[in-house]
Amino acid sequence: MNAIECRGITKRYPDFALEQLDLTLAQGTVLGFVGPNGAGKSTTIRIIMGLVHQDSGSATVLGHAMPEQQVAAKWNIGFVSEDMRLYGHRTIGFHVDFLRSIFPSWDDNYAQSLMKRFELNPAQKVKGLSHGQRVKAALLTVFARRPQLLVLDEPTTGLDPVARKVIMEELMKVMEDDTRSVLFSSHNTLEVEQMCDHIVFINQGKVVANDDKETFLDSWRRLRMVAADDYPLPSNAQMVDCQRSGSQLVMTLSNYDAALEQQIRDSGGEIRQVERLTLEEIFVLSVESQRDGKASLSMPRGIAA
Amino acid sequence: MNTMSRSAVISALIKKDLAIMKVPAICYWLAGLAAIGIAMVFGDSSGTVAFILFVSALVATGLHAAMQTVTEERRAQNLPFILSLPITITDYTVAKMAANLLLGGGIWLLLSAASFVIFLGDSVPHGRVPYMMILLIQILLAYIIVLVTSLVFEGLAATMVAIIGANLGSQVLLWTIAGLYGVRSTINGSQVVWNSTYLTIVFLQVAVLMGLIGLTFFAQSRKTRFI
Repeated sequence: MNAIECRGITKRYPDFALEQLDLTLAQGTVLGFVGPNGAGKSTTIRIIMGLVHQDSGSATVLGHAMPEQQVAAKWNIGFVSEDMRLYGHRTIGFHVDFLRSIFPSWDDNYAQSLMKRFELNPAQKVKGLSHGQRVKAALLTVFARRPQLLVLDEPTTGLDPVARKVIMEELMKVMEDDTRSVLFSSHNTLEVEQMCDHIVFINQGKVVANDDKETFLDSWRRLRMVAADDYPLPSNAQMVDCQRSGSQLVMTLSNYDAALEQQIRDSGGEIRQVERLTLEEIFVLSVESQRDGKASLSMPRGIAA
Repeated sequence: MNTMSRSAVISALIKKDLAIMKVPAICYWLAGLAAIGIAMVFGDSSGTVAFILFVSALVATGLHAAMQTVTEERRAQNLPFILSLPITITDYTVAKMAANLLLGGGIWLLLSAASFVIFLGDSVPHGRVPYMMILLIQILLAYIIVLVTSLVFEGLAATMVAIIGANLGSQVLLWTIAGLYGVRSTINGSQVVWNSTYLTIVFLQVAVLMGLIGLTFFAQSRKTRFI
């Protein structure tokens, strides 16, 4: 059973539409959900949480259809989002007591250990906490429930590097449990690269790319080469970006492998250097390609300057 | 499954709202009790002061509860936290209604009972009792209008419009009712008279009140976006 399975999700607003979105999070894995502001990440996550109802398509979370069976699903989901706040005039202890009264799975020992690790004082009011402390308090309130699924919508946005490191370390620990699944939405591709097994890029309400992390990192390459103006790129090469200066050609491919490299050499291209791309570069190029309407562009013809 | 019943979760939500409103609610209750005390000790001479204090405590409890537990919860972005719990929007609405009715309705019941005790004493013409009843129901109705508006329309602006509209509307309504023959002819009498005018008005008030609550649940069930 997949922890999350979305099929053909559509949600239309006056200024934005989520179009035919498919998303799968396998049980026990960590899915990085990456997209620019306004791409549709939060809308998708709200649909997954049953907080927004899709116009069409199906969303199944932990085997429960959303939004119809959201109560059954939400017993085992821990949700933290960047725009979620605890009660400012109440203490952290108030929230802990409130959640303990609801969740029989609440782990008091773990909550106390997190309280120490996050340097939180249960008697402190939420309004007096720094942003980093608020995020830590919010994460504490979901971690201590021991949920099967964590849905984290940009939880580290706006954190200083020290707070981010502490939170990321704790997230890593939480994810050591192989049965726990995590949907992690973030702008920070470095965090996603660190944490996630599988990555989905979303832009303008559409999934731009969807693959496991290793495949992303292995299949994207930047080639620095020398080639004639009429150099014919192999027909099966998916070129995402190309810049020419004289005979110097810098080309980014999204389906690189050793066989393709050999084909390029065979067709007259002189490869000087092959560079790996960071996830951030892959993300930016994927988004730009989609905006330019060349998401799966292949270039069988000669590449002109 | 390691879960609690829905009613237990709703009960936890109600307790949470009562805890959040505990201090202001106690203050309003004390103000209300002070009003009753003033009216009982000083009798007719304190009538206006006691009445204003009494109505203020009643209105403030209701408005503060609705603003704090519904409008402020949304403004302060607490709603994603609450709606991520294992509840539906109907459960949330039930919890809000119950918490607010316990807060506003509780003090309304206590003060209404006290005012009837005072009215049934010898110092006030008993003919005013039905009108007093209508006034009390109208205060409750105005409070419910504010509460359901804040729940359904969600924003501060809509809630403010509801507060102003309910307040002005209630005053116009009460003046209009006071001018009706069935009311004019009995209000200063020494006997409590429940004629058809009073009964019709009370019936309409209760019907509107129940209708508003029903409409709220209907409107909430039709929503497809909650945050």
